[in-house]
Amino acid sequence: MNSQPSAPATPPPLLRVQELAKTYIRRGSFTQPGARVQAVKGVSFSIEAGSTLGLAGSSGCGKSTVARCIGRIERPDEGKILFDGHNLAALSFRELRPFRPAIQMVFQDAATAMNPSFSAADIIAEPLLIQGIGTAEERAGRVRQAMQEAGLPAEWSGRAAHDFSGGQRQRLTLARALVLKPKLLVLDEPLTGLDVSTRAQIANLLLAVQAAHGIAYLFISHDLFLLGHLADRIAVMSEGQLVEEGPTSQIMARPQHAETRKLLAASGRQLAPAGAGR
Amino acid sequence: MRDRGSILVPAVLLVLWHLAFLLAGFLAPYDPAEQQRELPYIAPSHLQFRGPKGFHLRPYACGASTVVDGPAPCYPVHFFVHGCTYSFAGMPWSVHLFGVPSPGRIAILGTDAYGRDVWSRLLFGGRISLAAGLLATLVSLVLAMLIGTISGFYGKWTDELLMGGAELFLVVPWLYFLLVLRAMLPLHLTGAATFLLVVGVIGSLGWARPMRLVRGVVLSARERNYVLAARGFGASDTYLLRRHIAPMTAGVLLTQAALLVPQFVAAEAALSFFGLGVSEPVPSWGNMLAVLQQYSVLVSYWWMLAPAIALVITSVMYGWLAEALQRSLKSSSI
Amino acid sequence: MKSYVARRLARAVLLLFAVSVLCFLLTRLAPGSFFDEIRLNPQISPQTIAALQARYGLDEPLPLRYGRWARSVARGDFGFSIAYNTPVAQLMWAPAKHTLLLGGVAMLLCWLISIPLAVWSAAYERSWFDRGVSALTSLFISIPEIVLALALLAFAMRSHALPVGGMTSVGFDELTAWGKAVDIARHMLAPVVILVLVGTPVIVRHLRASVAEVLHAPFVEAARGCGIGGARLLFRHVLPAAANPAISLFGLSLAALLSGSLLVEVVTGWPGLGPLILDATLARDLDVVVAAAMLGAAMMIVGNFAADLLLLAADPRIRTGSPDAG
Repeated sequence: MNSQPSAPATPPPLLRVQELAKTYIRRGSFTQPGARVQAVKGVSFSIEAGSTLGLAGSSGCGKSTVARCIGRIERPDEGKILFDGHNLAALSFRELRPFRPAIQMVFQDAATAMNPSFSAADIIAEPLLIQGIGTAEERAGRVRQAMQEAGLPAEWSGRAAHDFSGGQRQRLTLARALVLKPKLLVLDEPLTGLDVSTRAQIANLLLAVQAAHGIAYLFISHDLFLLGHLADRIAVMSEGQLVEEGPTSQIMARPQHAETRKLLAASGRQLAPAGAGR
Repeated sequence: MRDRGSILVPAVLLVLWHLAFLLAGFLAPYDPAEQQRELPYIAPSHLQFRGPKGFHLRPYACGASTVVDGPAPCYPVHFFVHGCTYSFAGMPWSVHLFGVPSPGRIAILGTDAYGRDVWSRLLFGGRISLAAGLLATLVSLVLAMLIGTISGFYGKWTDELLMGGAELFLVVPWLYFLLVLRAMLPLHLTGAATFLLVVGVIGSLGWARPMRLVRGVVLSARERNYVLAARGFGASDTYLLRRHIAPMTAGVLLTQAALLVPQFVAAEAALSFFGLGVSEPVPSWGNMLAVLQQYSVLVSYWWMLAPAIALVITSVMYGWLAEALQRSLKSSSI
Repeated sequence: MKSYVARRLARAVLLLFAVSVLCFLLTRLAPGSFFDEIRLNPQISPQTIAALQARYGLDEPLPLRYGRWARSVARGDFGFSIAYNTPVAQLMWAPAKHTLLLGGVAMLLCWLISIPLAVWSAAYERSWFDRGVSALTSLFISIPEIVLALALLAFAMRSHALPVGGMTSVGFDELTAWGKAVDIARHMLAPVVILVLVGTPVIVRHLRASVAEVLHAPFVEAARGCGIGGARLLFRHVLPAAANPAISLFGLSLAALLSGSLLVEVVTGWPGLGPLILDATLARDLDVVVAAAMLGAAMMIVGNFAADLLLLAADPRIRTGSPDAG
């Protein structure tokens, strides 16, 4: 169905993003028009099923906007998001509903990503409830299963979100993302703000989940060093544009663009003293 | 929650206060409209524990009697007596908490120009005034909730328009506006119609401030990550509003309710005081105070100020509750 | 800076227009009219009433009537009072002046009393003075205006300390200019005291909160560190920084004062807009009601505009046109 001449032999990738662009309008007032801010411009990449693409960039470079567009919390202004042969960018919120379970997001700040008045079970069951999947009993079963996969004891299901520690909260959002059995997980800085040992635990958990279910990851981080461990391929963004993309080993060993070298230097520097200090 | 106790005390007191007015028929010895023309402006009866045969455990009420001549005698106060009928919970009742045997009258807050018992009128009037305040608050908050949610959630030009409307209502001095609104409606109406009118007029004026607060909460709630996450699961607008956004406005609405009720009770009092609200013979705190526009009454019969004291008590208790709610809202949002 | 003033001015005019349309519409949608009472009189024939209605243009469509009314406002007539058979403006100027006098004096006193109370109680947080002030503000905020007015009036009448009713004594015309001023001032005392008691607690509470906030700001600590302290710190550094919310409060306190003054005027018999609008409401003299309400709204809008200009003078961010000072 997709007659792109560049890739005739290999099967099409799970996700192909083409020329993605998004402009925000900063809210003006009644008499002053708002200013336009171009967040993302002409970004293209693709992700194979079961693989991990690391998206790196310093803060404000537009990588979170890419995540929000793929998770379709935002609607991109231009470009295509081809997922399983469907262009998600062209669909309305209503038309998107059946595609929602396949693509799930994990946010940076787990504490704000969960309604503080909900219990753990409510939080994890919410996607099922919204999608109208299963009876109450089946949902409870899937919640237990997801908690187990995320490494949370099932008897904690009644606890409120704010009773969990930082690492446990991130496990909770991961469980919520897994409960719909997605094919692609968009992870927007999921390890930022956690302490070093917890980061390692969550990173290992992510690797284990990927190995078990063959889920593809779009892993967004400013930490190239971390992506070097987790990703198969790495893409680097700067000022809303993709500046470099390639296999992890190549990017780590022979960075071409100045931004990549800067990020590499920053993550290396960060590793030594920050590990002890923080 | 740390300050649940500090909310509980005023809340319980307020419940008791409202309950007293709900039970007006039982606590009042007389019908609020019953006139004793020969007993105008009788001073409050004083109670004493001395009967005809010296000391007595039973209190005696002295000061008022329908027998005109001679010194005012004292009558024993009886409890759970039968008197005029009143309806409560849809049934007729005739039991009253206290009363004195008949030619005597007990008037613990004196009588008004027609010899009507001020205490009884205070209770029945309070029922009307408090109900008007509560219902008008409900009207205002429902409006505020609806308009504020729409304004905050859908934003853009809807927001501009609705916020402009709210500013209009904030900028006009409310009492002037109340009179304009009242001027457009018929002057003389039946009791129930006037009551609903007062509720509607007051309620439709007070929505602007709570609406702006609700809008603020919705505006920030809309951008919360968990709301975005729910969108990512394919949630509809109604789901987001119902499950995530509306519950967040509860604290603000509750606090606003505690602030609005006393204001609206006072607004009813002002309208009725001017003769534009609940009209005689139905008592309300406002129309009971209206006679004080005659300076001679204001100076000579202090007990006619009783509704004013009831208004103060109501306001103080609600103010206390509002402060406690605000404190807990502030501490829970940090 | 110029555009800021222009924007605020445009908004004020827009608001005034919206208020006028709203008031006009509301009263014109009224099911009752002045002629309801006349109609009950058997000596006046239906033809006469119809002729009267036609004469006052009560049978025309709404936009036309609004246009006619707006023209009359532009001429300075503010509509026509059917009850007094004269243009409304003639009825209104004297009461409006009286309301402005009363409101202006009360406003001035409110702020003169509030500023030192608020600043000192914020400066000596948790002292007996602060506790006393906040207890009193809480109490007075809770007391409805109508109760305060009646209580003070009862006190004034019993003690014979203050003259009550009207704004002049019987022999007013024979007094000297100074005597006249004193006489008016004495009559004004009761309503002014009531309005000050209503207005001050709200201002004190808000002002104290914003001053206290500024007192905890780092720059105040720095100033303390530099050896600036006492009254100089409070009134030269802290108060200007707290002025911003205080000026916004000015607009709101104006609204409270005007509403309050309506009630107080009626209770104390001060011949302002209050008794006028009340009588007009009872007589269904709609043009008078609308005009009085418009005048009330206009006073408020002008007051708010003045507050905006004050804000401009007080806040350097607005002067330099920085976008984040909305």
